[in-house]
Amino acid sequence: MKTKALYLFFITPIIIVSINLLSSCNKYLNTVPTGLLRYDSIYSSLSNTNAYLMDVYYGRPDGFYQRYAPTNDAGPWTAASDEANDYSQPSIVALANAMNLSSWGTTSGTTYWTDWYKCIRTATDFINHIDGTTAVDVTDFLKVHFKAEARGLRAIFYFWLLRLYGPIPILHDEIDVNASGSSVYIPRTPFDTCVSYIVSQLDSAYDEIQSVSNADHLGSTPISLGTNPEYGRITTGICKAYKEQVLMLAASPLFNGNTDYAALKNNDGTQLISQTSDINKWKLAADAAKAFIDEFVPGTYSIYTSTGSDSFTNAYNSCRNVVITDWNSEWIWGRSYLSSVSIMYMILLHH
Amino acid sequence: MQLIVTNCLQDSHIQERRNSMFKKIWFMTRWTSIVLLVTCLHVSARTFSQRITLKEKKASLAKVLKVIQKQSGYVMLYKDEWLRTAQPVTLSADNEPLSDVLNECFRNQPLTYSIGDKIIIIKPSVQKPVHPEANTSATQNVRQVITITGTIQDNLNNALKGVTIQNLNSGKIVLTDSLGRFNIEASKEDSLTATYVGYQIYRWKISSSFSYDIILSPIAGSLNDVVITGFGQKQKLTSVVGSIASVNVEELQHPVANLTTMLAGRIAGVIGVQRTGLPGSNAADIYIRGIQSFGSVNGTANPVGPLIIIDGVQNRDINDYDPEDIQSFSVLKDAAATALYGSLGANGVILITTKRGSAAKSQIMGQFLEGVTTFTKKPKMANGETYMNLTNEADIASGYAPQFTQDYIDSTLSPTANHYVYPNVDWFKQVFNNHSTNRKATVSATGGSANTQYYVALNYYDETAMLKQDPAQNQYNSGTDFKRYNFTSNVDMKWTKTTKFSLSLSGYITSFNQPGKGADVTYQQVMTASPVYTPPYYPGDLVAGVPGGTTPSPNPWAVATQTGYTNIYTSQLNSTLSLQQDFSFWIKGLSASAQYSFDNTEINNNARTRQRSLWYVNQSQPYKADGSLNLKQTLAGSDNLTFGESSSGNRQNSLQGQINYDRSFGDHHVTGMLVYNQLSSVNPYSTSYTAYIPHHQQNYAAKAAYSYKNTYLFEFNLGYNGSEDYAPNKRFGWFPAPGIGWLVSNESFFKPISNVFQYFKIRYTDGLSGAPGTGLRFGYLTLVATNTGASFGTTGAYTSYGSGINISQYGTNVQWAVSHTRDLGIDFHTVNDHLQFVLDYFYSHRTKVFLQRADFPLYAGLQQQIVGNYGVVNASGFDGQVTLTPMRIGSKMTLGFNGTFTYDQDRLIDAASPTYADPYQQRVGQNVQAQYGYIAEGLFTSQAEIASSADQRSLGGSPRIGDIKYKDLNADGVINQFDQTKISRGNVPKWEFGAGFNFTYGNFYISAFFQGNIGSYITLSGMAQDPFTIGQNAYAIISDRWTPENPQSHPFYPRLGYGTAVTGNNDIASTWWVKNISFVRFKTLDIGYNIKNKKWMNSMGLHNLQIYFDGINLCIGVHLNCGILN
Repeated sequence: MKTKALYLFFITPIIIVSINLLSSCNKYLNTVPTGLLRYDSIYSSLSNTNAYLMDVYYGRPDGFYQRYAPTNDAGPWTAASDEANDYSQPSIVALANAMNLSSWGTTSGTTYWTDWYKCIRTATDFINHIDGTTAVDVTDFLKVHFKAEARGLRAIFYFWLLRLYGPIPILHDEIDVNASGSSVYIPRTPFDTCVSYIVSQLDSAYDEIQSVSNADHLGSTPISLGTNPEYGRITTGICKAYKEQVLMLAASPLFNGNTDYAALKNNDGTQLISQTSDINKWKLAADAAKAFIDEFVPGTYSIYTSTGSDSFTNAYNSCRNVVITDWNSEWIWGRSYLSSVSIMYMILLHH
Repeated sequence: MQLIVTNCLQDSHIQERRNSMFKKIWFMTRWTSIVLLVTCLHVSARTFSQRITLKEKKASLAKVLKVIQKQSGYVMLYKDEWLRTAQPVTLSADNEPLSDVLNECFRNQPLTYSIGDKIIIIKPSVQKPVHPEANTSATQNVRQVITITGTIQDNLNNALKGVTIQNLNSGKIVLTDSLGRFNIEASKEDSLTATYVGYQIYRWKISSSFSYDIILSPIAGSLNDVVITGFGQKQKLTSVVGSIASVNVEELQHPVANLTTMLAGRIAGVIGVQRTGLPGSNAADIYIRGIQSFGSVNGTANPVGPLIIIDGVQNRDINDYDPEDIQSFSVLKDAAATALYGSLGANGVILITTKRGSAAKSQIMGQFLEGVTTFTKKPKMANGETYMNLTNEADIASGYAPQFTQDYIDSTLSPTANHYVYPNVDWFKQVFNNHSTNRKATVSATGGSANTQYYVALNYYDETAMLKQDPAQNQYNSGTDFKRYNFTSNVDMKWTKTTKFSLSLSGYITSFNQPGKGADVTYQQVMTASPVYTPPYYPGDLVAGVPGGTTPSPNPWAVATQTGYTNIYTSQLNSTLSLQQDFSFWIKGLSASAQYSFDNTEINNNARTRQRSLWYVNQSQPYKADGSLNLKQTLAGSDNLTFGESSSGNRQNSLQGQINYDRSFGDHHVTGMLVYNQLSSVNPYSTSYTAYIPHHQQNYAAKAAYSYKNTYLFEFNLGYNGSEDYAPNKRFGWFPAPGIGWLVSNESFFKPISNVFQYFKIRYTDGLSGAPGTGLRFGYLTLVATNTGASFGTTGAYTSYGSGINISQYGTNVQWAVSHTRDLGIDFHTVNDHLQFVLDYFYSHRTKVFLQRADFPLYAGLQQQIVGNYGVVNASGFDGQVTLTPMRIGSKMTLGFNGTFTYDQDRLIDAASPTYADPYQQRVGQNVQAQYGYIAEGLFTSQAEIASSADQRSLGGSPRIGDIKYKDLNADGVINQFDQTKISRGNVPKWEFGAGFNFTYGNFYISAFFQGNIGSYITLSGMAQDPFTIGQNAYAIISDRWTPENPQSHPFYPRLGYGTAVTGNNDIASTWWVKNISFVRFKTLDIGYNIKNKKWMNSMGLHNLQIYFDGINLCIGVHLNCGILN
């Protein structure tokens, strides 16, 4: 009797525990870290969506750092001039001094390549997913405008890469992080294809902004999420201005029938730089410039002039103040800073 | 392996290298006493606590006994005809003890009875019936003949039939029946033996119990030998198919803190490397079948060491167990053996069980050891004279003015020099004592009755490093000392005939004390400190330093004695509750068990540190007007201790349920096992949200085995397990591993050669097992984090989105690595079973090794490097064990031998990285630990040679005559990174071997063990490669160098230099600096004498006394001395 009672005494709890275990087995591993900010949360609110877009804007060169280039994607131009060899911080200004000292190496300045491709990926991801946002405060207007901003920025980053490296790989989508083997590698895109892609993207961005522009939101004036116009966001004017720049580069003999680059081919034999000069490229550039002037000058942009009694002082001030007067009529695009003191350095978007 | 690797490790792990110098030699005597307490107080308590309720009037004895049998569950043994002679019984019992009821039944009967374990034996009385209780009384007539009953089992709990039970006093002999039962007549104090072929003889003395359940232990190396396999299954060696090695745990029982230091060379397939001898952290790294993984993610490397399971629980540290408490030690090597552990097992599994009690008399064992430790080898540093002269030589060779004037050198070396002004210090002597001590004490007790068994033990271990202390700093203890207190309490209880309950508790407390800056920093500075820059101290309790800057120059004596102290206190409790139920009454051969364990570790690190002020002598005017030293302060410090604290720990719950089936049907034998196991662990001091989420894992395992006539063996193992760190649809993985075995020696055709090979078995297994990655949590989730933002607007109307967000982790298809391992094994015995061989060959192909991908182009634009399972490594090797079981030589001598060897090689197949331009640069195809660098062709002998050779200037500095010349592998006229190739296979050996013997002569014994390895290399770096770096010292071997006066072709050092602009050419990894560090060492020596059963001992209560000498790491033979050791 007793022994049987003992069996029951032991076996019953074992069975109960086992049943409980089996039923809870599936739950045992269902630990999900709820406190972590996951990818989905990017599109769950206006502030996160905008913050993600801000990371695309981050790739704009910061002119203040020209002395420290390639830090913050600034160009080394000031320090790289012959009279401005900065020996004070030789290790930091390696890029600027490297140009002066002719010690430019194969890996100098790779920051531009890494940073702008990062921005390009973020922009592509943003363009692909912004329409699916669930946040109620991201209005249809903002969806279109944000997308156009990302598209315009992406085209400009490609343009800068093109100018630095020549024919570059144009990615039409994000490379899957689980991809392996040859699918992660894509060949360089021929220069002219790069140009037409960038131009078409700038045109699309222009069209998108135009499509949602109304009396309150003119395409040539940046949008504002708050009360202040957010100068520095992509506008129709910026898109058109860069289109002209891209076409100018394409018309330049450097890439327009330059036979020095006859050997620059992909592994499959694709010629990367056109070997026949096309005079019509100049016309395209001129047309783009004319289109810009027709649309924006003098209504939106005009030459900055200083007014005063003394013409010499006026001339001097016109040259000086154009870089230190905040968002004057001559600025198409620049960076914004809270303090006006260093604007003369900071606004430059040269790399 | 330990010493030399580490001694010569001159790579970036300087700290490791420093620590490593201090492997000990132990000269010690220890004595052991085993006291047998002849008190068996466990007088079958449960037997008599059975209670019976019945009411009978004039009933036949047979009927009454049937009722009793039914109620008590006891088996009655009698002959029917005896009961016919019995008187009718009248009795009434209401919950009376069984013994009372039986006494009543047998009163005035012509029969008598005796109670054994669950058996009541009835037989005609030949004398007056005796009450069982009377047997235990003090007035018992010792010559009273009683019937002793019992059972004999092997250690797999199988009944043994035909075991000879002999009463040594009466000479009576009986054999056990098919259920292993016996009964034999004996008197109290009689000695009995149980003997059976292949098992150790069991002797015992009749005390007050009538019943004995005896478990016979197999003779080691015999065919009855049993190994522990996955999930605690005990399996006869003959039926094992997988590659499983076990070690006689007595071989591991030497006075060391860490068990892992004893493994190298003792177990085939295990490679052990000890990196440091610092007390408290001198464990060895162990690898099973070499290194079969590589790669790291976010700085955490993929684990390459085995999964260690102690008493069925993971994550218990092997080094925290005292070797004396260990009962069994198995190493599971191939897929068939490890597949049960699924994604955790591919690096091998070590199974350890701790000792448990047995149904025997209590034994108390005490052991005390006092030992002396000293450096086995230590680096030999340059003395003051060499240092000054060669620093000057380096200065001159580099175009600098000599640092030391001849005057200064002469003053320093003068026998009358004031060494406060002209320091010349041998830092080794200044900081270290010549020897130190260690101490160990153990008390354990084991024993029990048939129903309750226990093993309890307390261990104490104390090891002190050789660092000196400053008697003046007496307000704290900065000594380097490691103490550990272990306890173990394993209790097993039989609750019913078929139910066993076990409670196992073990734990330890360790306290590690060291100087405030760390003992490792002290060791490091002893070697780097220049002998002539500073004395240790100045009179008046002032600490010496070097002028200039706030960074104190090395003063190892100050680091050891003046920087306060740090204490790391660790406490751990491991507890396990388990229940085993035998269901044979329901389905024969079926049993089940459940186990719950809770482990808790706390590590508290308290630092009370300080930096005292440093002083130096003004060299330009060393003495004040009054003749005292003109001292200046170089660094203002404080004598007060500052406090710092950090803690960590681990809390772990695990639960396991298991069903076993094991049964023979004639020639067929079937075994089955199903296991469920879950485990959750967390560091309670975690500081991040994710880190505080407990690690969970869930494991299922199944095993089925079938054998026919014990000759044809088939086995199928299956693991299925998962972790929450992987995506929901990728959490679980299957790991199947089948195996077959054939005992050829059982075949009739084998008979003709059975006099040559007494045993011959072939095994083959082929299956999958998995290896966990770096422990990256939730790698499948794409996470975002705050990143940089942007700002817009004018200065007057400014809008800042200062925090952008972007991806901080890309979720990828992360999983475990998979090893496909094939193993072919041959076991055979020859020379009448005395010489035994176990040989294994394996080949494994590991895919999906977790790593950070280097094959993703930058234009993919990833914010972070991505991780994935892309690595591939192949490994193969063979290992074997040769045993000579103790052979009798003459009448008094025995000799045994044991040897192992392990050979492993691995090959990187894919590292998810871009390929190199030239074939000689490829990492793919080399072993994973390979080192890369330049090929040294010798030293430049002329300026013309330099001019006509490839341009080496990109390495740093312009080469001089006497500098190293490198091979231009791609023949482009320039030596740069494209000329690098594999220069060595790294510091984990290719071959590891060990051999030892055991010799006894009467009561005297000697056992010795040698261990060694071949194929391990280090590449000297740091100070060993570049003497005098930033004022550092040099090794004494610096005298062996290239000089213009003595332009040797291959000295230890090329031309000396000072500063990277000059020495950059030489201070670079190349074959010049690669040193072979293979060695053979005399690992252990144990000599002793047993004193048994002497009259004077009996009077002290001693049964067995052993006096012996145990030495560890006694001497070492280095294949090619790497030059820096004494």
